[in-house]
Amino acid sequence: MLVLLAGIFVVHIATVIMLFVSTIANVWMVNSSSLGTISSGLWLMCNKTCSQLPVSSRDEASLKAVQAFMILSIIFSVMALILFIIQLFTLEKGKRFYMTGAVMLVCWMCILIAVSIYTARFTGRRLYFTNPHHGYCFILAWICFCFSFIIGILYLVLRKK
Amino acid sequence: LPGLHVLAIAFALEVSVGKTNTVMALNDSNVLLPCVFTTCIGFQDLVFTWYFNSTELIYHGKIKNKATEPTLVSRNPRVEFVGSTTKKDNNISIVLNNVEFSDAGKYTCHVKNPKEKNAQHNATIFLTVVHKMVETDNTVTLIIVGVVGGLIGLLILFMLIKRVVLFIIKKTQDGKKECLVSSSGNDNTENGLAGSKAEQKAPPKA
Repeated sequence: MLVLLAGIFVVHIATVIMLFVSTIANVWMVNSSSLGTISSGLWLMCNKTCSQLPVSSRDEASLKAVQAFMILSIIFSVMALILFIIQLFTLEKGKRFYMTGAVMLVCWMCILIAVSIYTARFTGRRLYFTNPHHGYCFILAWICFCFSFIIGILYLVLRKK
Repeated sequence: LPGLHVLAIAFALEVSVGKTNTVMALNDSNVLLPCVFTTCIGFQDLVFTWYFNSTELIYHGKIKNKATEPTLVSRNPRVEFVGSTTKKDNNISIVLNNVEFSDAGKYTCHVKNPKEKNAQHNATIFLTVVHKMVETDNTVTLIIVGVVGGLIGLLILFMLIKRVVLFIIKKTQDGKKECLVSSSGNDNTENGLAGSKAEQKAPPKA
């Protein structure tokens, strides 16, 4: 059981790091053409230098929602990590990590909302992209989605030894 | 000591344009270009100039000493001097009237102090002229604060409801225990409320 808890802790840290990388790096969609690779993310569009992300007026609200929910997911996953360490020392034997699990599931909801909106609105045909494909940040965000769900459920199920 | 001498020259006269060196101005408005200079040992017959894009001289002024205000040597008619050198800090800011889009560019504030062996220093401001001022958009902040605040509120509400429900359950259970105590009559159990209600019922029976 202790090994399982340690494993979950490591996966949790990995999730937090992946969320940070996914939110900060601007490689959600990549377009590789003969002129070079252009990558766009949540904040900037980068060729050789990075410039403002061009967004049509009807997609503006969606982009802001994606940005906000990715940041919220980072906040909640870090909060769950801290809560887990606190509960590790203050919880009585045999009790479950309810608070940590609950916060982790809220984080999972935030990632779900963010990535769904992005997939629905920004992965179709875009103005400057001739043949786009998904960048690594997009993949990392979906991996974090799976991991955070598994970790949240495991926290709710495990008992403290 | 020659080393100290060089150090004194390097940091004696300093010109600064404030915290940020970019200024945004609305089309057809008057924009303030700030500039202050500091000296170690004071100044005498100091000469200061403002250049536009490093070539065009738009203001040239002279200051005799700290006790006097600057005198004008030459200026562009659209430029006004609004600084003051008799107060605590030596302010040599100018105001450019009725800015147009062609006024956007690099403005350099240059100062030369004969008292410090003709030490010179300058600072640059980058001016951009816009059609209309864009308000900073804080939708993202609002969403984040809203969700976090909402969750904290829900948590507090949940705790409150839990307390209230537990309190109500405890009260109804006390009522049931009261009945048990009075019907059995002669019991000295210490369960239930060891309070006034049990004791009040006991004496009339006994």
